[in-house]
Amino acid sequence: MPVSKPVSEGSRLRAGVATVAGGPAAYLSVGSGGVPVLLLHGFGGDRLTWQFNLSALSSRRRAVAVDLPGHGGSTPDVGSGRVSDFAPWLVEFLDALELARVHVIGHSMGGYVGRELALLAPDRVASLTLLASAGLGTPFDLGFLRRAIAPADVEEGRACAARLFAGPSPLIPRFGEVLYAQGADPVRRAGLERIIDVSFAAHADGGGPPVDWSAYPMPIQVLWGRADGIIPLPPADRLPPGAPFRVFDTAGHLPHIEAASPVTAAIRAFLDGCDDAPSQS
Amino acid sequence: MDRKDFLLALDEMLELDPGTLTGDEALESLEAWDSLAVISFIALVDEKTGVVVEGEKLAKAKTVADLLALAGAPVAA
Repeated sequence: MPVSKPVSEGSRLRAGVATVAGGPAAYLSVGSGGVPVLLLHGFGGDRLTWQFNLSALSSRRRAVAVDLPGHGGSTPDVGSGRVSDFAPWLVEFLDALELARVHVIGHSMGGYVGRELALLAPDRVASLTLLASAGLGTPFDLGFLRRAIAPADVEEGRACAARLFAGPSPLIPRFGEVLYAQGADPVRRAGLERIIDVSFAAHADGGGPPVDWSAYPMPIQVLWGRADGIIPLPPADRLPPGAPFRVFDTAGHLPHIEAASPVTAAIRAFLDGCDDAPSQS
Repeated sequence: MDRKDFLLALDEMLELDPGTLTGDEALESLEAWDSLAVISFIALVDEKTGVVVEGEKLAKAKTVADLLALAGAPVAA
């Protein structure tokens, strides 16, 4: 079992690093029991992107936020740069934490990775919540991704941060400073550039084949910010048929931050509903 | 949990000496007030009071006193 410890004396919040074959996995964990929920951040982000959601999602279950390869405190090795390769790494991570079955929440790139995990190990994924998800075959702003991983200065970092939000936010200056500071790490930057080149660049204009949603046996819901300037709202024919689709008017590409309370409430209700459904028990 | 207890809990959470925080401090002046501290704070308030602090409101907090108000602790001494 990996060693985790409270981030401060007596805290419910624990931080740990799991040793898995594909490279160490840094994570945060709150709460216990239930069908746990696994939170997957987006490109260039980390487990802290869930700062406003993690505790609230732990009321009926353990909530675990992990840094994907090339991000945060996890292995800097992104392998070939194919983000689909993160799925077997996540299976190893679930094994290391002895998590037999989890609800998966994936934001942006994390949504794509979550879908890959669901395809690879459908018996391990109780449900999928896709939040402003990549990989639905719609266009996205590739140039923004290249700028955001290495802003030329703090000002450009702030401009990148502002593009993530629907409107003014007290969080933008700090996010911008973090983007700029992270851009100074050459190892991180190289890994993220490889991901862009290998996994994203060929798909930025959209037009890819629609997702074969029949391959996903678990319940799915889709959440989006109406003012998302990075991955705009997908058309209905790109969405899983019959799945709940919630749009948050006051949010951009980070609805879990900008509309934290309603997004968290939507996730909680969906997960609780999945847990309580007769077919899931 | 009263104001004093919350301040002591925040001291401990931010790895400050007990009694350091008084409520007047600007959050941006506290080096340890970062995203991890935000998660810890929400978990702390949830554990002590059963209230889940809303992220949107927490994002607007500027001082330790603002945190106390979000936690439901009396703001005045």
